[in-house]
Amino acid sequence: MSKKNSQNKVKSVIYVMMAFFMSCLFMLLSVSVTLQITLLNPNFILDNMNSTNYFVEKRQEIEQSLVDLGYASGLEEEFFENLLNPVDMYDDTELYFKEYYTGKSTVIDTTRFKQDFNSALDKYIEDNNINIVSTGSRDYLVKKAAGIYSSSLEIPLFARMSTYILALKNIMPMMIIVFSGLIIVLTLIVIFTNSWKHRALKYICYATSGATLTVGIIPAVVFISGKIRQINISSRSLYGLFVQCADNIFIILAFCSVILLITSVGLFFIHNNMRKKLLND
Amino acid sequence: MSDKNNRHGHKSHYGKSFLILPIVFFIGTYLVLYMAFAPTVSTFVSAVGMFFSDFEKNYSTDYKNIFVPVSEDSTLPTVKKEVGNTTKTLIKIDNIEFPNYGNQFGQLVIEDCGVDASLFFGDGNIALRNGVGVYSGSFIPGYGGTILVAGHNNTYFNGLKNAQPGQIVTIKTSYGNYTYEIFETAVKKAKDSSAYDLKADRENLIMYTCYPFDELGLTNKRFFVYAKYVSGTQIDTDVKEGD
Amino acid sequence: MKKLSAILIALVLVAATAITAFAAGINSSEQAVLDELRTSVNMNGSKMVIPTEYVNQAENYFNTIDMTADESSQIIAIIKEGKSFLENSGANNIADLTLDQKKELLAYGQRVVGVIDMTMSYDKTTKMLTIYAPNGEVAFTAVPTLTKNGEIVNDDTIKTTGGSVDFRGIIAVSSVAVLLVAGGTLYLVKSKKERA
Repeated sequence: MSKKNSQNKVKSVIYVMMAFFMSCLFMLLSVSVTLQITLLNPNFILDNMNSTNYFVEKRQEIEQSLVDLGYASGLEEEFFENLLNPVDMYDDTELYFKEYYTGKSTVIDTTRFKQDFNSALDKYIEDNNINIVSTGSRDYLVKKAAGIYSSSLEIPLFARMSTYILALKNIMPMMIIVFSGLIIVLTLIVIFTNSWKHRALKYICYATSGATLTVGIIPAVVFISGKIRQINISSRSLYGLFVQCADNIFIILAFCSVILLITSVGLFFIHNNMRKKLLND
Repeated sequence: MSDKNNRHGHKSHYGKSFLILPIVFFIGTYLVLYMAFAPTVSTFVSAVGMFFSDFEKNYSTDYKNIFVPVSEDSTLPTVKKEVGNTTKTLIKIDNIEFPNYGNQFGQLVIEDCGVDASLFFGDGNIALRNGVGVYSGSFIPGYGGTILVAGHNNTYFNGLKNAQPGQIVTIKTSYGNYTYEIFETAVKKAKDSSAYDLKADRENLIMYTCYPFDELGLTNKRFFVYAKYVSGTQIDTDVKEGD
Repeated sequence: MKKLSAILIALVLVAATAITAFAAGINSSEQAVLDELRTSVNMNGSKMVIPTEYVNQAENYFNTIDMTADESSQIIAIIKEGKSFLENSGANNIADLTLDQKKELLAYGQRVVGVIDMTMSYDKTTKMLTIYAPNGEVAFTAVPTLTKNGEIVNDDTIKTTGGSVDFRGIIAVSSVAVLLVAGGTLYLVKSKKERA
């Protein structure tokens, strides 16, 4: 009898360990799915730009920076009033994300901007009979303006992180399949090696409950602390975008946690009913 | 019945495992993640942490104005000190509201050039849109060091194109009025560090703006105007006793 | 009761000093920090110094606060540790540090972050690094650049509008953070919670 007891205890320990691994896998799966839907999705950031005032505010910021440049280069404020087109800014940004996520380029293409800027300059020079110092100084001005345009539209640190993001994007679908597969395998092992099925459900319930806490604590801490909104980002438009994107990422994570919670509660009740039935029989 | 209870868990202990084990798993998962990823990401995470403050950033373009013009016959508390072989009257530094970055703290006037601009501490975009700015790596008038002032050539410093040796520059602050005499102008490259000396131990004023004036285009040249100190009560910058 | 009394005393002192003079002026504690910042670091025979404009910014900022002797000695201790680390690193200049050494350099900056409650921001358009006091005031601005021979220079002393310089990597920021921030160049008043 004591040998059987010790065997049962060892089995319990093994099942608990399996449940722990399943809990870790559920957590990794939730994070992977969240990343796949958000940061690794080329349309995620662009969709968030559309749902905030990003392009409106960004246009104002770029225009103000260009006006400051104009103060040093003989251009009046009026020159910049109709220079920037939000539709063109959107198109340039869309192309930037498309090329970024396919690994082609990590910078904004300023060809169109330079063309528009040069055309506006030609008209301004003609209308105002302005002297140009040299082609060199005009080219330098256009180059500086294009630099402001591109660095304003590019996402900070994206260029530096491109290798990691692209690598993660390539392996993430595989990782999701592997995590899901491992969870299924462990579930089947727990169920089929356990003669009492309600106990098998108990261990799976432990796993999902643990994962609920592990996954849910992240958005809970972030939202309660309000730390997201306390980031120091110089650009107001980028700040709004960052907050929106971060909120959406953590909401998705919270949603994963809720799904795990519902699963845990469901498994708990099923387990309880099966156990009561056994006790009454 | 009792055998079944033994096998399927006694009721009084039963539910606790549904609370305890998930918490244990939660702690265990984060321990495992910490051991696995801490060496890789800890530097990045703590570096990122430096970019979070305790409050939301203020994006207002308003600035604080601490400039209150000093009338000719007003006096701030002063102290007499021996400097070399002479006795000098110095403003007590405790009676000065030292400007913070971005504050308007004075007015800069060059009558002969038609320059009359609000003077800011710091030469960021907001300052240069609303006046001219003292570089925060230089010093304020009366401090006894280099005062390096920037302004846009299309706006507040457009008049510098008329600068000539002998012209007087007046800087008005809340703690006194200071005059400087222009002695030299020069066109130099922006990255030419010989254009200014931030270690200078005597008061001197350097104003600069983009060059050339009134022409379309941008260059890496700057127009520098150098002026020597003429008058204005200096500030007592001797080291105070610590706490 | 002890804690409450301390808070009451602190409130009284704050009220008492509110109507008196400004904090302008460099006290002996602040001067000690400035002197330490002005001394060079010897890296394999090359003398590295903090750019004058950074030390001047520190002096200007110190004119708006009052540092205690205790705070000053803590900051000087970190500066000395950071300098000693650089001198013993075996590198000719900051650019030659190994990856682990660079991480350690950044760690010095983070120690100071933990002590003096500062925060930073970086503007991609102008390449400017800005450091803020706990009350949100700008305490320091720079466009730190690592030159080819490993010196740190400030690349925005003379402005254009719209920025014109290259920013060479996190190393420049880390080393500025150690030699300047980690050195306590910008001392930021501790939060009331820590002082009470």
